[in-house]
Amino acid sequence: MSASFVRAACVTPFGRIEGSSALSLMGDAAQAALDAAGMERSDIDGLICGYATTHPHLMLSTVFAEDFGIRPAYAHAVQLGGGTGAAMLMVADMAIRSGEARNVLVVAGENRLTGMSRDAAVQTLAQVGHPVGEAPLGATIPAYYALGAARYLHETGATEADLAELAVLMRRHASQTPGAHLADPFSVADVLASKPIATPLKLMDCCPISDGGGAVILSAEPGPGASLKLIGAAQAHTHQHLSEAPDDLALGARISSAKALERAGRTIGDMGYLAVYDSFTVTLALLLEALGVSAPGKAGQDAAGGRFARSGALPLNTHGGLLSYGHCGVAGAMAHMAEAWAQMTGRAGARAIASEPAHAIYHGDGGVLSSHVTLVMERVS
Amino acid sequence: MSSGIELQRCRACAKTWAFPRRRCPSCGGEPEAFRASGRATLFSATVVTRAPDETFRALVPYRIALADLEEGPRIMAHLSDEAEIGSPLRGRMERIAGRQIPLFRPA
Repeated sequence: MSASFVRAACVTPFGRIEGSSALSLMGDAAQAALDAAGMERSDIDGLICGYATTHPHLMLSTVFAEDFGIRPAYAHAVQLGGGTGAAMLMVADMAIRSGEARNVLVVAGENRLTGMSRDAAVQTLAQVGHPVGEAPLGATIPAYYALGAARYLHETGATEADLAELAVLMRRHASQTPGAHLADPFSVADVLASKPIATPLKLMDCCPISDGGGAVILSAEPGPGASLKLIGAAQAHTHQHLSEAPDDLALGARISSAKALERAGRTIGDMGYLAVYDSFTVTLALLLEALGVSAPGKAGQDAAGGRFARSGALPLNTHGGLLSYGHCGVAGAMAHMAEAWAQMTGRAGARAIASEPAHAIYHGDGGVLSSHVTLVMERVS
Repeated sequence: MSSGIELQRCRACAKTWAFPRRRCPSCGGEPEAFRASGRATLFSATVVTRAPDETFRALVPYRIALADLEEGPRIMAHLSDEAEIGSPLRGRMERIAGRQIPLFRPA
């Protein structure tokens, strides 16, 4: 049975990158991935790219291919909001296992911070809301997630301070990651005192808007040295708009993670590293609990207890996640994959986790807990 | 008095929903429009202080809620005052920010 292997997964620095464009950031990340994999442009025969709100185009994959200088035998773009990074890897894996391609470049990048005004970014993202029933109400992405957060706190008895623990953890991780957008450590009290955005979410419960790029090379060969093998992937799509979400808001994460783990022949207890989408603190709490990592309402307390730290039993987003490494659209969640690859293959340097886990799980969420993609990976050496 | 909140119901299978659609998302049947009573239960609510544009910036802080209508569908709406999740609401269409928006009040 053929399989695919992560040969390289790289991100650019995230943050304010003056003079950058979607194509320049995609190119920077792609070049870094080629260099890390020891590959040439001519080795790439498949290309999967994301979308860029600052560079809307009918054919972004071939626009990038021409600019970067590759002529893939198979190419297209993928649009699945925050789930795009994981979805691109899933389709690349399918292309490799079917024999359609041997080395697939998966790439995304966007100058979301410098390429548009903050209002324009907020409004563009708010269109994730329904054009009749939601967006015209003055709702924003933070408001949609805040509605989920208020319900989550009501149902589980967790507190705003519990959610804040997740922001504190991501910031602590980012403080040691070169290239992180936000790196100054803060406390739970700082999060609770930060500017209200949409209750119960404050500014520090929310990810920043960043510029940045990310690229992964998936290959039919494991290559030299340690590599990551994809051993299970699955998706679930329960709704698009929050108004039509199931009562169990993270149901899609339960379905996709259970299916991906079943396909991998593993359980959540086998996982030793977590790469989980974290657009807001509540996103991370809901997903960790839906994946079966934490008991309902306990994700924040698990973070506070050190479980998800670099030295903990189950390291989580050790680069700092969307909440602090930054969020530049599609490539934002590719940073989770880049960190998982670095940690699982002994390339994290001073940031290396204490354990040497054999398995990692990567979960992406698009829309408002609408679209879910889970990948299960195994270290091979 | 009607709430003015428009819903749709399938003529074939009686499924009821809120987002305007040309056919039933359950069976593909033909929808008919009707008005909700306005009686609902609060599923969740948030106070928004970071508005998306100038129009709504003038209104901050404002409450946005998910209201479970007695007819079945859950809709997004504005909420007049603080209310507990699970508590009863009454709502109707009102003019807010120059447009017709469902506004709920604690019942």
